[in-house]
Amino acid sequence: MMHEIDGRSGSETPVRFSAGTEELFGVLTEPTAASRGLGVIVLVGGACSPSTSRNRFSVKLARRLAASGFHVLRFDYHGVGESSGTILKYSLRRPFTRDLIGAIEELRRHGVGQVILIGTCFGARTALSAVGRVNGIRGMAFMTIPLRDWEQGQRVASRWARDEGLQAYIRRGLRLQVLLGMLDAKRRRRYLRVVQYGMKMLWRRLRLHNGNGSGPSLDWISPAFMEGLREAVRRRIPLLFLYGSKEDHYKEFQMAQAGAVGALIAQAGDTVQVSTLEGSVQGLTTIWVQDAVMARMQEWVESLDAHGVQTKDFAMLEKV
Amino acid sequence: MSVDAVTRMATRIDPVLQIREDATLIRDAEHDDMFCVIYRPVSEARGGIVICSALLAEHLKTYRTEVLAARAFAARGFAVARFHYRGTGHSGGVTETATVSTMLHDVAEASEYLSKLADVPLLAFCGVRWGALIGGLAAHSVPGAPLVLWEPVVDGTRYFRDIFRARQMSALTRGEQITTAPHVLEELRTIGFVDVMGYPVHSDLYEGAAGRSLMEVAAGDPRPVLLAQVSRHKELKPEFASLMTAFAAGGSNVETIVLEAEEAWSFVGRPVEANDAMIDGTLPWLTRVFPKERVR
Repeated sequence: MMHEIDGRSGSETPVRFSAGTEELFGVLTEPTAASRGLGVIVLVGGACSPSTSRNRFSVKLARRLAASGFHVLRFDYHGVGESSGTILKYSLRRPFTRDLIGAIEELRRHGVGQVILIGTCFGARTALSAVGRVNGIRGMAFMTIPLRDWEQGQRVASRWARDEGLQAYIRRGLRLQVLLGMLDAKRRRRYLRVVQYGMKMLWRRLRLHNGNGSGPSLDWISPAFMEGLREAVRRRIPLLFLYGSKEDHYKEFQMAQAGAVGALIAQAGDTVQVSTLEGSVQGLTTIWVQDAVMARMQEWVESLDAHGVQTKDFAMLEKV
Repeated sequence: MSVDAVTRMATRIDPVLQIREDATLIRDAEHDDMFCVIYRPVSEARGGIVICSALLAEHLKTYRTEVLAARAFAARGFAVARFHYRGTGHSGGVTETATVSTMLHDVAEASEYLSKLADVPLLAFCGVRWGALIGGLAAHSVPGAPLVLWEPVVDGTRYFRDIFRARQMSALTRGEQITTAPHVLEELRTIGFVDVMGYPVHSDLYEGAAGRSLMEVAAGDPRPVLLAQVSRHKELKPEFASLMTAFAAGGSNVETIVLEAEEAWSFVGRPVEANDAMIDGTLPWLTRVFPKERVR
């Protein structure tokens, strides 16, 4: 049954909507069951991925949720897929909030005023960035949301900068392999980005506290992430954090529990759920992971009624 | 074939390129919906181009390439159709319904839709990677249709062999058990599909691709052919050289472009770097092979 639903496009309509100066493309999937009066927006990750996502994950999720009574909008960020514009670089410091607001407004034009946001990695940070900027967010599900900020190509470098002391970071840069690599223009640009990131981290560490209330040991947590999380908890927006147990993003999430993140989640009580899958969710690189994540997402979204109140608890997922 | 144009079409006018894009879900009574985007110049189109998509993870990587190419071609006066094979992308249908046979049907339907909507009697076929193989096989039944092949999959059997090998390498890097080729084929036979980096490769798709090759197109009617190699090789790869020799031997007018670029076609993290070079290399060729005046 679920399998057949994945192929049903009868209630789908391509849409175009404005986001700033850009014209974005999306596909609206209208409910094929009695409408719940709630919309869902699916935000893909940041690796230039179009809104179909790997193995049509977003497409299938949209069709399954529509079969459960939701209006679902999946859309291409500017510069991606069918949308207009150009992306120079993805940066977690600059999520595509404007794109998301355009999508929310598009759903409103279709008569849907309450929305649940489902975001993956960069998409999750984009979802979080909308809190406090738009009303009517009834829940947010974050798949493998990063707590650090980095720009495209700096993920590993930023992790080194966090995990290694300055001396180790500099020693890494003085290795013969790296020095020889400086002769190649492409590698040289990459290494300079690593140095830039290291300098930024050093500057932040020179300040004892950076606003996350956690001190230098957790100073790598994004201030924007903290701000979004605080606001979401203040507004009592139901949140779902979904990670793979072996991901570095989950490791960071666990480390962050020792500081203000942990305090906020405790304050939020049962409006925040954390689920993990064995292995990695990032990239949705196996069909088993896709199926497990989709089932979890669908279960969580369906639990949110129109007033944003969760009606059931969730157990930790395990690999079958 | 029918299109509910009023409620299921999203239109965009590009004021800079002076083109119109219409995205729709084509519905016909016997098949699932097919997602299709038609690009048209503001003036009368001089010809039509059908762009066929790559497959699996390569489709994610090359999605934007196809969109940019379609826009660039339309800006130069061509009407263009892009579409998602049924069972893939935004189209209807479940994944296992997508086979070589159904994909060729989808190309034919997209071609028919383009011809009707844009009133273009002459069509060319363009594809990147797997899309080049499908576009070529589709062109095989259209005598004389120009063909653009971007880093083409020449042979279906070899393509899937390479994909299964990539799956093994991926398992190796993750420290997982490697499945040998015979085991992969056994898995295909017994379970019906194989998980390749999050994509199911179904047995019908695999078996339908077996033995299909651009060489059969080369042995057919002559036509103008442009092949763009996009790889780290400075010289034309032997596989491509053999293909173009076969086309030439059959009377086809062939040209090649060699673009040096490190493209990992299944790695989605970065866009295709050679987009501009592929498109800029193809446009002059298209304007040469299509007559300046519309053929009626």
